Amino acid sequence: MGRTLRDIFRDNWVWRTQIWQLAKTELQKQVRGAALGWVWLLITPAVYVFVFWFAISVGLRKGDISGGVPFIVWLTVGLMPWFFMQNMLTSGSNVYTRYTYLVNRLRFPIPVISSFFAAANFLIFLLTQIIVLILIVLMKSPITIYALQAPIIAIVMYLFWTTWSMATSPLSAISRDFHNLIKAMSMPLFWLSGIIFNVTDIAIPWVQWVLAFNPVTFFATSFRAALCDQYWVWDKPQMLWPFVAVFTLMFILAIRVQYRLGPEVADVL
Amino acid sequence: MSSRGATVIQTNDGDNPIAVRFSDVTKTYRLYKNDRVRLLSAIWPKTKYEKVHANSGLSFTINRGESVAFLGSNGAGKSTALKITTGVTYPTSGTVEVNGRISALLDLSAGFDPQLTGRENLMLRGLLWGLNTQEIIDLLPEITDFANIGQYIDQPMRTYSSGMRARLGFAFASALRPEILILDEVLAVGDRRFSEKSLARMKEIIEGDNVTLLFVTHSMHAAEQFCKRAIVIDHGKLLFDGPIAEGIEFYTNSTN
Ligand SMILES: Nc1ncnc2c1ncn2[C@@H]1O[C@H](COP(=O)(O)OP(=O)(O)OP(=O)(O)O)[C@@H](O)[C@H]1O
Ligand SMILES: [Mg+2]
Repeated sequence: MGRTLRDIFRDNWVWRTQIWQLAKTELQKQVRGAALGWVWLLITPAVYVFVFWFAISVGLRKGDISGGVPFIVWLTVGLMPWFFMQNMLTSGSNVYTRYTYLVNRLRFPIPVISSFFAAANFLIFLLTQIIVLILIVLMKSPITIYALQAPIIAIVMYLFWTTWSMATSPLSAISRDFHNLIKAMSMPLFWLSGIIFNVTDIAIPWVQWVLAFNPVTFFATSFRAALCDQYWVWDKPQMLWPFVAVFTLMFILAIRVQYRLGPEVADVL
Repeated sequence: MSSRGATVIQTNDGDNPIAVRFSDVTKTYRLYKNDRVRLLSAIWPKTKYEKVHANSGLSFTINRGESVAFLGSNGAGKSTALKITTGVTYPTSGTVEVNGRISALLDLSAGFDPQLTGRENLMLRGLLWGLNTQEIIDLLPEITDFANIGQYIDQPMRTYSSGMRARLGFAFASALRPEILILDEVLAVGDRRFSEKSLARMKEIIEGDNVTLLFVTHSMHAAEQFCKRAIVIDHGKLLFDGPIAEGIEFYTNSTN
C-alpha cells in the first residue's frame, strides 16, 4: 500500500502537463455543441441562486439567517461550491466509465483521471467565483483579512474531492449498485448540510455534531467564514475536526481501494 | 508496478536487445455471478468466483526489431497477451519485461474519444505520448495524408466508420515511430487500397526504423507478408513458437 501511495503522487507529478491538457479537453466537451458555450456554466448556478433566494427570502421570509452580510451574498458563497461538489459526488465518483479509453486502451495511470476530472470542474468553480465577487462588490459586503482563507479552502476542497473520486470510482466501475447508492446520497448530503441554513444555529448540539461530519457542510461554512461570517476556520474546532477525521479516512480508503481494486478496473469495464 | 504475485518491468530503454519477455505469465479473469457478488468480493475476499485462464504459463522472448504474428482461435488469449504487454491489464502471476516505448492499437476504437474530433484526438494522443504541441502540429500532415479521411478530420469521431477510425489509428500509431508497435486486428477493416498502403508502411517502419512489431491477425496472408516469426496460442497456452511459414502450417493443421 505504501507503493500505491507513492505511485499516486509520482504519477500526478509526472503527468502534470497532461493533467492540465486533459482538464481543458474535459471542459471543451462540457461546453461543446451549445452556441452560448461557457455562458451556460454560469447560467445554471445563477438560476439556482435565484430560485433559492426567492424560496427562502421571499417565500419563507427567512432571509435573516445571514448575520451581517446581505442574504444573497451569503447564499451565493455557500451555494457555488455545491455545484462543484455535486459534480464530484455524482460524475466524479464514476470517472472510469467516462474515460474507458484511458483505462483499457492506453497506458495511463488511473488515479490521474480523478485529478484532471476534478481540475476541470474546479476551473468551472473558479469561474463561478466571479459571480460571487461581483455580488460582494455590488452589495458592498465587507472583505476582510479572513478572506485570505478562501483560496486555501478552495485548494483543500479540490484535494478532498479528488481523493473522494479515487476512492469511489473503482467501486463504481465494478458495481453499478454502488454508483446508484452514491447518486441517491447526493440529495440528502445537500439538504443535511449547512448550505441553506446555519449549522451553528441548530439548537440540538448532537445534530450539529453529526452534520459536521458532512464534508459539504464543512466547505459551505468555511467559505462563509472567509467571506461572510469573518472568523478563522480553526476558531470553530467543532466544525474543523470532524472534517479532518473524514478527510483522513477518505485518504486511507482511497489508497486501499486503489491498491486492491486498481489493477482490476481495466478488466471490468 | 506489481500486483500480488506478478512482476511487471517497464522501461523506455529502446536499445535493450530484448523488447518483450514473458516468463511463465498467467492471467486469470474472475467471473462473478453478478455485479452484486463482485462488489461483495471487494469487501469479502472469500467470495466465490469462477476462473478463466486467458493466458496460462506463457513464456517467450521477442528481440528488438523482430516482427511476430500471434495466431490462435477466438478466445485463445492473444488480445490478453498484447494488453499485458501494453500495460493496460495486469498479469495474475509471472514476470513481464517490456523495454521501449509502446504504441498500441488494441481494438477498432483505437483508444480515441468518440466525442472529440479527429484532430482533437490526435492532439490529445500526441500530448499523452509526450510530444509538445509544435511536434504534433508537425506530424499532423503526415498522419492526415496517410489516413486520407478528408473533411472528417474535423468531425467528432463517433461519426466515423470503423474503417475510418482504424485508418486514423494506424496512421497515428505508425507516425509516432514507437519502439514497439502493437496491432490487434485493426487492419482487417481497412479497404484493399488502405490494406496495401498500411502493409507497405509496416514494412517500411520494421525495416527502416527497427520497430518491434506484435501483430494479431486472422489473415494468414497479412501475417506472412512481414512477420518472420509466429506464436500460436490456444486456450491461453503457447503451442508453437517459430518461423512464420511453419507457424501458419501448424495453426492451419490444428484448426482443421
Ligand atoms: N475482461 C474480461 N473478463 C473476463 N474474461 C475475459 C476478459 N477479457 C477476456 N476474457 C476471456 O479471456 C479469454 C481470452 O480472450 P482474448 O480476448 O485474449 O482472446 P483472443 O485470442 O484475442 O480472441 P479473438 O481472436 O476473438 O480476439 C476468453 O475466454 C475471454 O472470454
Ligand atoms: Mg482479440
